[in-house]
Amino acid sequence: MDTIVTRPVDKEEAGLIDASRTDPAAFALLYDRYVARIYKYIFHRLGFHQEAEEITSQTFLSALENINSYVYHGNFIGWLITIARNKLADFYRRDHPLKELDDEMSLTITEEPLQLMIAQERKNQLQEMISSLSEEEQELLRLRFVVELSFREIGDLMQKSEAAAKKQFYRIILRMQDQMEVEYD
Amino acid sequence: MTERKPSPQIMNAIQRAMQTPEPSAAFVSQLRSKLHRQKPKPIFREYKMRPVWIAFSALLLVIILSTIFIGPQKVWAALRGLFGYMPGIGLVEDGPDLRLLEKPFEVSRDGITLTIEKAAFDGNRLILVYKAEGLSLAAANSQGEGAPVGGVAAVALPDGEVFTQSEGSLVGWATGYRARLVFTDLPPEIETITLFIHQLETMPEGAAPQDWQIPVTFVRAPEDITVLPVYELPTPTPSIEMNSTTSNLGLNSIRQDGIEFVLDKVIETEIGYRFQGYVSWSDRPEIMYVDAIPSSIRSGETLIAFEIVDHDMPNGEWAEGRTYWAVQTNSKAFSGEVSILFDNIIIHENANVSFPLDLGSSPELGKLLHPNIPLTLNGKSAVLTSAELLPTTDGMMDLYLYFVADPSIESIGFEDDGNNIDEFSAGGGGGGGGSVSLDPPENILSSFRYGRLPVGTRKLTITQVSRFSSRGVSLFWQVPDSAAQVNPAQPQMPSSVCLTDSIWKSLDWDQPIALPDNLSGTLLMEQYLSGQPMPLIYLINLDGSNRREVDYGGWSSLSPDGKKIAYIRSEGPGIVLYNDEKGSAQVIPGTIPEDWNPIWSPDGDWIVFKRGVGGTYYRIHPDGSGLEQIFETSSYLDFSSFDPDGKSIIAQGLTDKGVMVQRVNLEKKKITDLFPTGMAKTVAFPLVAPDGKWVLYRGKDFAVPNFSIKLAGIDGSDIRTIAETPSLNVMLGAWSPDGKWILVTVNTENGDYIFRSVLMNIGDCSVYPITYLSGQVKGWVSTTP
Repeated sequence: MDTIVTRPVDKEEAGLIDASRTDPAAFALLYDRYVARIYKYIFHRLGFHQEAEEITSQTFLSALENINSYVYHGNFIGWLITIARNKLADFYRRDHPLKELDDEMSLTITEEPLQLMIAQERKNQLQEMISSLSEEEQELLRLRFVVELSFREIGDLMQKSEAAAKKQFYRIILRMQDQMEVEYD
Repeated sequence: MTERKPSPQIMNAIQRAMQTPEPSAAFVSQLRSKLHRQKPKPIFREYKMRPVWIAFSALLLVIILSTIFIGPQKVWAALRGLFGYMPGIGLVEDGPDLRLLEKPFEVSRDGITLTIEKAAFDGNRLILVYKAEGLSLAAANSQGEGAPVGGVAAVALPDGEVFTQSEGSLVGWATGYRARLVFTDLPPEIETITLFIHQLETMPEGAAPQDWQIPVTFVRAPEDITVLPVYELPTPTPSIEMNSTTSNLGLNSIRQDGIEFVLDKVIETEIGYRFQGYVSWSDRPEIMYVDAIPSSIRSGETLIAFEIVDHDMPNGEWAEGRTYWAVQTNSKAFSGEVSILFDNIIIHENANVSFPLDLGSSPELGKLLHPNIPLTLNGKSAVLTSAELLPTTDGMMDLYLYFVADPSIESIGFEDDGNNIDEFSAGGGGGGGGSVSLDPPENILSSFRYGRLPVGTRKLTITQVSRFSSRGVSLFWQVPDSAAQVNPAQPQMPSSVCLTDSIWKSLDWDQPIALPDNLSGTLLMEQYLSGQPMPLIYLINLDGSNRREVDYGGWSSLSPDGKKIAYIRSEGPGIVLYNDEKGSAQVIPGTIPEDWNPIWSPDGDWIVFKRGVGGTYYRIHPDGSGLEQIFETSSYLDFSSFDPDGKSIIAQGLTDKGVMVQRVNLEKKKITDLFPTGMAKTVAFPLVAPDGKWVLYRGKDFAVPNFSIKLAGIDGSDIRTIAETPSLNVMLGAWSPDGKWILVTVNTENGDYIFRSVLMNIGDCSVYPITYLSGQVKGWVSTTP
């Protein structure tokens, strides 16, 4: 989509994208920059390593394949996320059941046993709350916490303004905070 | 009232609850290697269609021929679910339900006009194409960079049922803003709908009229409508297994080693054929993936030019264990049997072969170990002959394994089972390269990246083996006799090409050269270095003397007197001006982080630059005075080089004819198309000659996968290919100050990806390797006062 808007340009990124059209080494730098975040986004949606690796591979291969057709609009990771979403949609279309999150998505905690139990209980509670959010709200949290996108980037992807994305994000967090306070009061 | 803020504790708790593991080092390393072997898809041209009556007669004949050759039952099977191809719309189910727009529907509000130009409804899928006129870039940008734009469109049926769009795409403003919307699962009998668009694509809330409602009426498709045939070919189930006696049966599907190769659709376009099909390995669960794309298409002994294109899957035919392929010819000048050959098939299989490798308690970096471990990998033999550890530029460690393997093995992937090194993080330079090289008879190199130095005995597991298929596969299609044989276009290398693959191979890079014609001058160069996100900018004399490094940056532009460089740094905060005489650099006051792509005016008084993404240009004096906006357009536009008079700029823009070389008159604020580049959507970098009469640009010929360097008169006349090197990437460099020579940069793809510069005389085509230049040439000015 060739939308033309004025926004800050990550010139380093724009340079790498242009160089990638002829130089795979330049694409490797883009890959290194984003592979972990894209993988984590996909893993968080799927919950299984093997499938997440497969779709991460498909995402980057597709990005490289289509780099000649890509016109930079200031949000390369947004493009990668869009490709990943399409690959995930293909994956689900193949009648793959929606899998539960992997046990490997566990908390890394160093507390003592009692604190660990409390933390685990809280984690379960929070994961339940997250899974009860609407898909759009879950996506917003995922893009912020897992992919670590800026609110501007989230806004682009979710077709909202930066302010609207930020406002919605904090509304969700406050709602969860209120629920947690009720649970633990 | 004070706005509530979430507590840091809840933020941390949610973040931890959503904590997600990092990808494994092995995966990151292997995917990097795989990407390193891939190439971007070449750009292909759009093509036009021809009237339907020829198509129908061709279709009729193929039905008759097919009935004779393959029997009526298979023909019936082939005809079910028949698709047709409509120009500007795509694949539609070409049956009695096909409906089209009664007429274009147009609605105007507040100076904005929406016109539904094309639509097709095939009884299930509705495709609508509309254009918008009267939108302005200023309105599009009126709410800042983060404003939400566009939205999901919907159609409502007369009974009130609403369907939201399932797909959508927008061709940019430059091409006239055309959006294509797809709606699926509509009931078959519809004659009127209302299209709802809450917010136009690219427009933020309130910047343009909203909540458009456009009633649309359909009529049955007339008989003379342009619907081109799609020959759906029957696939035997199961496909015939290929052996020594079934290698050339004229089939459109065949199995080899349990892998099925299928040609299932042939779409006749106005100028050629689009062949598409798939490769399936669903019966071979040990296979991860099969790389198989056509390597040649022949009609008899004649090679037919083709390009790889996107596979069009209107019914979502995606299936597990398959890869889809599609190719397009730009010729129909052939008849009889067409064969599509796959002769470079790579099968990627899972493997599980473990072995210990003792690296020692204190491994010495760069020291070759010689474990000589014989292995059997999925029935093929390989010997791990040597191994070495080498550091990366960012402090990680690569373990390289060298194998002497069966020649059919293409690559080997391995993991360290105990890779629980917590310092691992993805990063660093591109894979491959470095000091690592194979020493025959070693034929396979594989690597794995660690976060820190691995020590002791490591348990390594080979998890993936890729191998070449032993034999190629051909699929066949019989061209209908009635098909029009038009446009006999085969790719032809112009006789005047100065640089080809063979000329490149003949160049001697070891001997110093004497520069011809007493050529001299100062060159501006950019060189990517490992681990650096932006290239190193440096100046050097044409004879290789007086090299001086400037900075890491990009979009560097050399002043006409060769004494200053305008460029940008990755961290901003504006356009940087480097003074070569003083050896110092400073940010030009008044420029901001959104500024880039600086270009010097011919008199050196101004620097023109782009602000943000799009078509907004400013100029400023090198001392920071006189900042002013000089041009703005809603089109995607890249300024490239000034005309010698300084009043206009040669640029590239996206139009409905692809990438166009354009002239922008800065005084009249007017864009004029000069000529198309042959590329659909990538950069042409047009460079105007010092005399203003010629333009050097990056273009592309059909079926040639790489870009070529072309020279054209400023009006697009006398187009000539200067450099066309299918096995190499060739990039634009610079004109010599006298306009008789050009410097181009060639990016070799032999595993090392180095950049080398070649000097060419555009008059006599003489070519000189400039052995001492590394990186890409960005400018060349005379040093003669």
